[in-house]
Amino acid sequence: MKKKWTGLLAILLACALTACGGEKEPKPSQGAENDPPASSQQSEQQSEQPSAGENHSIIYICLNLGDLSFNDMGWDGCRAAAEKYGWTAEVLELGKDTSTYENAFLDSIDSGDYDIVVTQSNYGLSDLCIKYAPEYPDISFVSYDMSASAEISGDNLYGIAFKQNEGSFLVGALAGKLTTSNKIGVFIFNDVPVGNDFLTGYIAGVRHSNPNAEVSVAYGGGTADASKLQEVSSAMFDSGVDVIYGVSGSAYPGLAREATNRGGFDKGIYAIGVDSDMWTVYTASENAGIADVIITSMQKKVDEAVVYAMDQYVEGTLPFGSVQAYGILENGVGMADNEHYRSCTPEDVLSYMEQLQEDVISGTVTVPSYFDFESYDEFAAWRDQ
Amino acid sequence: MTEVLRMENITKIYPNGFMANKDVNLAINTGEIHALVGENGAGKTTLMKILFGMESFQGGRVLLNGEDADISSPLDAIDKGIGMVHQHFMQVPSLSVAENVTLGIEPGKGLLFDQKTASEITQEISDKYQLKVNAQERIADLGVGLRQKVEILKALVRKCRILILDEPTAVLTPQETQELFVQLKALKKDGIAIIFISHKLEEVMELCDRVTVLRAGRTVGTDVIGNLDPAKISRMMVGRDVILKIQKDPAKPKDVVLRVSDLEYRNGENVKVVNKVSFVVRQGEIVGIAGVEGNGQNQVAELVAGMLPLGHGTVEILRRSIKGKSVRKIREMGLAYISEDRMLYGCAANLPIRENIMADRIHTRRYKKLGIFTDPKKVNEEIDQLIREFEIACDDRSQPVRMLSGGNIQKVIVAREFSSGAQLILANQPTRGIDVGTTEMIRKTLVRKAREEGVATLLVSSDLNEILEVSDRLLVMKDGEIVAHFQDTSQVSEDLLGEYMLGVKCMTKEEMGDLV
Amino acid sequence: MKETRRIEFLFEIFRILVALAIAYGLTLLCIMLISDDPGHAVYMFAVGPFTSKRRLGQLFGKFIPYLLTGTGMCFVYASNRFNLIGEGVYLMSGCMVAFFATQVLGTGTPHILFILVLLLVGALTGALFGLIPAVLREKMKINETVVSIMMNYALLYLANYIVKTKMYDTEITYMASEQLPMAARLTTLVPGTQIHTGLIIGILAVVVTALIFYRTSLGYSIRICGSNPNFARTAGIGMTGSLIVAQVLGATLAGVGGAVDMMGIYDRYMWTALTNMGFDGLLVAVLSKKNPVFVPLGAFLLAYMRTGASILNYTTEIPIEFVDIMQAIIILLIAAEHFMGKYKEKLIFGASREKNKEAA
Repeated sequence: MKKKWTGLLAILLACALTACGGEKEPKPSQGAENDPPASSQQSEQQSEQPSAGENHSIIYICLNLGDLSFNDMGWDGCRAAAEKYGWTAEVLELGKDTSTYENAFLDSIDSGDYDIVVTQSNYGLSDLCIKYAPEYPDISFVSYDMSASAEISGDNLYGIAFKQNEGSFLVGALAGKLTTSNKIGVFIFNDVPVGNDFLTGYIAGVRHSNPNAEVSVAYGGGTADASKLQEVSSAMFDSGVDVIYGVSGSAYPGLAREATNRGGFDKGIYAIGVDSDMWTVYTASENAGIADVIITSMQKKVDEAVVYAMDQYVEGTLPFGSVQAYGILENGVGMADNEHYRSCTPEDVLSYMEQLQEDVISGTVTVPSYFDFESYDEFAAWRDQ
Repeated sequence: MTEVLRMENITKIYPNGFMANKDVNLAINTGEIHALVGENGAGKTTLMKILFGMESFQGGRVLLNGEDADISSPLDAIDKGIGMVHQHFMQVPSLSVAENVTLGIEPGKGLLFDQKTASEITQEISDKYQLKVNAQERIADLGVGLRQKVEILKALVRKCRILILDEPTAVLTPQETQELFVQLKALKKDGIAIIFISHKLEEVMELCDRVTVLRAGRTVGTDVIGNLDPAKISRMMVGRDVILKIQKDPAKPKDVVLRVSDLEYRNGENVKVVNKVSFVVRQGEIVGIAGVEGNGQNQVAELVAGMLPLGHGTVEILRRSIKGKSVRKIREMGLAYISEDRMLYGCAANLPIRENIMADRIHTRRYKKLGIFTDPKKVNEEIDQLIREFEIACDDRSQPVRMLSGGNIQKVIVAREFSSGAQLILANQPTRGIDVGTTEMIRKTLVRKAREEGVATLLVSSDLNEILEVSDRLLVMKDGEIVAHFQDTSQVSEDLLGEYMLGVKCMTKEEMGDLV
Repeated sequence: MKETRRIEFLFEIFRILVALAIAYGLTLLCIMLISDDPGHAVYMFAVGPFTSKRRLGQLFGKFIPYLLTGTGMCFVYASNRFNLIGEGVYLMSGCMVAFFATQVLGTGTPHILFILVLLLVGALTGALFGLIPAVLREKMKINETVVSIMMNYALLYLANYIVKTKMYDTEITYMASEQLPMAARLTTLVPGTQIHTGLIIGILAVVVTALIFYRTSLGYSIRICGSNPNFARTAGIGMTGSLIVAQVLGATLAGVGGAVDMMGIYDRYMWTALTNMGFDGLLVAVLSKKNPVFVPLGAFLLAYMRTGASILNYTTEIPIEFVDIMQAIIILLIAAEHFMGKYKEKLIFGASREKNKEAA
């Protein structure tokens, strides 16, 4: 029934859009600012309205909504794209039971209600896209957070990879500059490849800007909550660490709270956020009281990447059959550049960071990736050196 | 004399479908001692539990002093003037007599217990009814007879007008029984109605005014004692004449099968409960061990059966020591064992009759087919054969044992133990709490196996009638030691046995003669 | 007394039906409160598993491992041990199967041999890890529930470690093994469904377990030890051995279950949390009244419910958490031994009275 209602709504919306074709609402400022680099093409494309005949519907398939980060951002992207083009978007949450994923996946695309499938790559979802894309030539599959080195083919499958190592490299370098104790901490939500890619970039960044600093690494078990991260942070601060990068959206308040309790910037204590621009997000929420310890955030712009992919899709330029890596250059990741960061960071560090960002974009500085290591053991040896 | 209690058409069905009482009627007058008799399992205890508020019932009503009474719990029953002395005393051993007697109705100001008043109350009632106890003594230091008096005092202090005694003489020696009777008659004079449950008909004839007989959950009838004699009551109880005498030829003992030497055992509290016990059991004879319960007989049985670890002393079956052997090994050496508590050790209640009988033998080659599998045909044939032979009342071999009556459960157990081909049968309380028919069958089978098959039998029992009727040779245990040895049981009277059990008499080594 | 048995049997069926009815009633009520289209939601929940070939296939995809974990837990439950190691070994054996399939055995291994070796790997993994709580319990009296639950987490992290260090696929961003070679996958019996040859293994497990239970002395021993250990000792049954064997066999079957599930419906090993299949196996054993003959029924019932819930989740807007709650209600009602016990007693009272009236 919901489908019918949303379908009806979509038709109404599409009518409304075609009706007021010329007078396009200005896009939200954030979207406009952070448009992917291909924005020259995009601005042209944006002025074109998709006609009612090109109506599409997206099914977004994820594990569980509500993480305020990775899962939710994908959904935000799908909704934003649907709103932008007057499509419908629906979400399918798969839950915990991995054995049902394939059936749920097939059941929903078999319904015939959708022609665009957006998924994460987690838990075999990218495998399912790869496996079934040839069988469903009329449906377009977009899977995000795939590995940049993954090889895919077909003219209805597109993969998005994020260079979280690049963004993490930047915040790592910042941490190396900010620390006074030469002790830096990082918390990774789980010891999994993506997590370790964050870690690899971060450690490399620290080593780049401050070779004398040492990095203490803590992993969550995948089920980390705020209290666990607060505990970990507390232990790290006790050992003299003064900058912590918390790679876990849902557990993050634990770090921010502990850093606030310890006196924040006044006492030389810094926290670095992840996924979204956490200072901005927190300041606007009930967490405002603990926002000011977040000097900056490593943004993994899942939502924008999804919207960008949809833009290309509408335009007909989406390079199906390939995985594209979204790094700093492509605006898939980056360091949150907000007023708080600007006002609280010393001048010399700000300029150092600007230069470093340019160097990374230009390729003068190469950032190592977890996926470059031959094996976990090799990575672990590099990490612990 | 007025009617103080009337139970009308009481019907009680247990959750397993067993109907324990069917339209039972019972009327009790003030100042009478009313015997409630019947075989075990006839529904006496159930009826009394209903009266005392311990069990619900599905039909009928209870009238107290002519008025409908809804007795919801034992507390309620006590409130309404009903007292009950259970077979197992409800006492706190570490507290004094006075404290136990006033437990729950403690005199005192506020939260303080008034020891003095408690003692006075206890002593007053004790004097009034000549139930002589010392109010200051600890329960743990008292003997069984005195503890029973404390139970009666507890009921009297709570001003009971109806006193239920559930087999009070089962734990008493003949001497203590006589003392109890005197006291009960004193209570009767005071107008208290006493319901006396027993299956010892002589006691009933001696003590009671009227008798109500139950059989298989129904009332058979009520009559004044003058119209009855033991044979009559007995016929009412079982519906036929019970031959309580067992005919048997004199034993012709042959080789020693079981040899027990210098057996000792210390329990969890490090108390020596078996002390230097030595005896033998020979082929073809039945040796009985008598004694008031808790004097070490049970431990001797469990040591011989391998259920308790053997410490000091030796046990040999057919000249092979059982030390360090598993129960299965001991059984293979020739032992069959009927344990004391049939529900706890004798069967698996939720499993079918088949599993219960096959438990000790299913692993043997006899039942194997195709190497590892059992032969269901062979198993079923044998089970059906045993069900017929032992007349087990059941639907079929796959009926769970819990659905059977107590007597039939015991039949399942003896069917297993008597058919295992053992040369030594150790029977520990084999007929406790079961009906007369089964009791008779088990006793007769014990004798037959000894005489015809030459099985050596060790019978441990606290039922004097059983031990005197069945055994050929008799040992008496007191405080973990053998205190008497009778070469010929038929020469022993209940009274004499009672004196030894109670420790009034004790044989010297010479008197006992050759034990081993 | 025959009547009592008949009532107990009929009542058991009746009780499950009423429990289902109540649970589905409650579910209906809740769905009505939160759904725009309760009719559709209820339909999907109750009939959903039978509305398409694939959905029925999904039901079987659950049914097959339930056959194995269910019979496994029958061993454990019948021996009256609350040993939950099946949960951990299920996951561990999936991990070991993936490890052997992707790292040890070559893709050139013939299909049948491949499958047999992997089944053996699963069984041995189960037996090996199942031995630990069983031996600790029977030899040293260490509580098997505590040990097994703690071990489940140890096994989860051990499996994570093995994936991470020995067989993770560098082509993907999440922690999972490389894809299993095609030779290592069980053949699908009905195309387009999850009905695979594991079904044969599952049925075989039921038959073998039933034979062990009722046609071997080991089965007699296990059931007697579980029913009344004191009696088992009195009857001379070697309890330590029987109970260790029972628990190890249970874990072995759970291990085979994990192997079959991995080879049957997964492309790669990707469990990073406990699968719940071992716990569900216990539920199956409870539903089947620890009788392996009834395991297919219990397994089907649970698979049906789990599948219905899953379909409810992906065909309606009802949140997945709510679906979990409803499943819990149903299972609670079915597993509650004394649910409607009073009514059962009444029935038995009535029957007993009738019978006695006739006799009188």
